[in-house]
Amino acid sequence: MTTPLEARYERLLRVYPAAFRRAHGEDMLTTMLADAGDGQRWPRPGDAADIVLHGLRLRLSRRSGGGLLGGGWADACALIGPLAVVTLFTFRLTGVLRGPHPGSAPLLQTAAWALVAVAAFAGLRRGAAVLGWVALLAEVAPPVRQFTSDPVPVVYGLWWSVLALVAAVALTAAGPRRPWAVAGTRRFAVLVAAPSSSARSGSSAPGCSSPRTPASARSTSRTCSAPRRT
Amino acid sequence: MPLKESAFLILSALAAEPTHGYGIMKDVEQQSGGAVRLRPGTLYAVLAELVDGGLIEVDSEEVVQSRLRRNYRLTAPGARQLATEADRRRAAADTAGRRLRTSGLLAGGGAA
Repeated sequence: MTTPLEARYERLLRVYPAAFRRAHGEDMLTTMLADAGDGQRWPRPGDAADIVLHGLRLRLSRRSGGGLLGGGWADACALIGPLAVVTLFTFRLTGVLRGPHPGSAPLLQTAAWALVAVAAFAGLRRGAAVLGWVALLAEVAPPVRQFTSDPVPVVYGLWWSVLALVAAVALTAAGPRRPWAVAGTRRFAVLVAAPSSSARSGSSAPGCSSPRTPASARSTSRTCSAPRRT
Repeated sequence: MPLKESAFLILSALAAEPTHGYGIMKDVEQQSGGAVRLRPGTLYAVLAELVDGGLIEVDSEEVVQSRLRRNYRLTAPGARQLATEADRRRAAADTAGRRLRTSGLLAGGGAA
């Protein structure tokens, strides 16, 4: 029978590369269970941190093929890339649906991320990577143009560009595994649903990127909109 | 290259007798007077290094309560390395003790 503590130790051990886990995982589990106190239900925080540290160090140092980086990072990127794309697409789409926009930039950006998402989820790794860099360009060009005349909203909207850069880099470095294979189907569904639900409830700050829209002008709570309310 | 503290203590634990991960953990704690508690992540990282370096090896595997338990033992090169390291540490400790006695920095004159 598997106790909760044992299950938690096993989950913790997944931070190690598969090869190390195969060689030492079971024996390590035996040792940790022997070391556990009576009635202990959770790994000690210090032990958990120690395992995460060593596991990540092994993943960083050992290259196990697939993608530009080692196995662990290739997997991480295979998950982070699509998640970042879904997040960007969702917030861009929400922005477009919310109200009229000056210029075509948000529409273009929404379309670009939609294309990237389609490519990424279809498993077209190289296509998704190339489109990711194109979408990054679409994301970065407007603020760069705007910066000389009106830098404040650009600075507040900087997270768009940063996230877009993360997406492009992750898609490029992603390994061959599918994101739902990396995270597990259920966990992946939750991760995908998170940005869409927060976009619907407006808990993030999509209005910041287009401060000229009426939607953001209405939101008094957002500091990034404040300079525009004159 | 001098061994790091954790590797030294693990080799020393295995010099007594072959034992498993938990046995090493407890022995290291005891040897160091409770000052060093090897966490599992650290313990197994060092064990893997020592196996790679040929200083220790797997002695036996047993199944205890339907669970795999691996015993490690010191190899001959491991024993030599441990002896060298013990000498080095003894010499360093002697030097430190001698200097402390002659310098009079320890007012109480504690055992050095």
